[in-house]
Amino acid sequence: MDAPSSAQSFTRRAFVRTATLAGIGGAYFGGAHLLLKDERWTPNRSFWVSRGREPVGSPLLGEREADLAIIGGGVTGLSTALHALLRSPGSRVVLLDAHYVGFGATGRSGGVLGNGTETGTPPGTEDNVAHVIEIVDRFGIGCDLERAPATQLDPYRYAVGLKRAVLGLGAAVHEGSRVRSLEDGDTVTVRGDGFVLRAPKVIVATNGYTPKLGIAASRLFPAHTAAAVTGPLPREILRDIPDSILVMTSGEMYMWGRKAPGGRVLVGAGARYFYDNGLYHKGDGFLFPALHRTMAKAFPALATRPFEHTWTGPMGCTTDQEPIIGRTGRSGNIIYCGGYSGHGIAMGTKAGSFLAGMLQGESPPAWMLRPTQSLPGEPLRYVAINTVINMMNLGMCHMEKHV
Amino acid sequence: MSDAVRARALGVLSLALFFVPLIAPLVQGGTLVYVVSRGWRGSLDRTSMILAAAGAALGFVLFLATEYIWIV
Repeated sequence: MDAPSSAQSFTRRAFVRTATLAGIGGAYFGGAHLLLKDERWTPNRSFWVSRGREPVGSPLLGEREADLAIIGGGVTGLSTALHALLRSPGSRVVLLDAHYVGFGATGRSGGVLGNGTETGTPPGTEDNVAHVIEIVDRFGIGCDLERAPATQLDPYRYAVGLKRAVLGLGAAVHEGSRVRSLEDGDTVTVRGDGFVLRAPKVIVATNGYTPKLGIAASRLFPAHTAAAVTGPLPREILRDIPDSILVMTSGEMYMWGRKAPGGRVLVGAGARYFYDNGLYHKGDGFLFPALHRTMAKAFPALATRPFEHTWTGPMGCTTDQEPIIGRTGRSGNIIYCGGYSGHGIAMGTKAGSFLAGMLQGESPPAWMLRPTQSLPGEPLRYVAINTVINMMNLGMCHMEKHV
Repeated sequence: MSDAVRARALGVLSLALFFVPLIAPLVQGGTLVYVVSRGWRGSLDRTSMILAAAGAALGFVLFLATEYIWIV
């Protein structure tokens, strides 16, 4: 009688213990899901936008048909519209942005132009800077372009200038038009707040915002980064600051920067992934003092100079830090592009020319079509991405350059 | 595996995983709960208790530093 009773008691205890552990684990991860998920979007508080917002186009209302629908009013989307219209004048191109052109990573970047990508100069990217300069000159875009010693511009005004250029070529640009869903088919139906847009070809140029549309979620993720700008500085301090700043903060991560208009210094650094492809940055209170410490350590003359503007925003990243182009939908007529990992102004402009070529049957560089490591869903996604970011911050992880 | 070895292993794990978000505080919290429960029962020697608790506490401090200080 004793033996079965003891075995029964052990089984019951094991069951209770396992159930308790499972319950605690479920409550922990369920609680984290509720606590960490945030559907807000970080507004654009960048220095560039603070210099004055340009007039915003009207939102799209009602039903509309187009030859090409472009979602996203950053450099990629605007450059795609520009190159598509240069190749096919008169085609009906409709570009949609949830807020306004330059709202996303474009209008929050440092505006530093460089050839290549985060990890090298793969084929087709050797002349990215010259390509941007050619567009700025050809369309007379006023964006404070500095050609030497470092090539840099005001990225928000560059986006606004691209918008004017595509409007001049006949595109329709609708701002304040947030896309909610895409319905696949020979003609893709793009649905948003108060509008339905139908087009046989759709370009999704939303970079870090793309996973929220349910597209390329296993390939792209938003990583939030920070930037800040000092107030105007005396000439004797500015003289000792390089035109283009790159200071390694660990074996892998770095603080970048530049001189900004008005005798200022602009710096940026950091990366953080928020739960469920979150687009709202929390924790700025710790971030900017850390960024200021890093800046002061590299340039002691700036230690007593506080930041005048601080801002954050999500940049689109891939697991290998290189941008990608991919197709989705049954007919493959939804094309997405993104993942510049912080090097999107020149590369995004060039990617737009690749995308416009794809619309006419051309192939982009093969490396942009490469397969990438598939990212898991939550909560593993949050753990995996931030673990790698932390390891890079601590110098425990190194990303190989592929070229 | 004895309670002492398990406690020390949890202490090491708490420290080793300090840079893993979400998981690190779970392991560290679990380690402290384990130490308190086994210590209360009297099945842990003082050294194992101190090592495990110290691993969990130090791991948590490093976790916070990774999240909020070493971010640039």
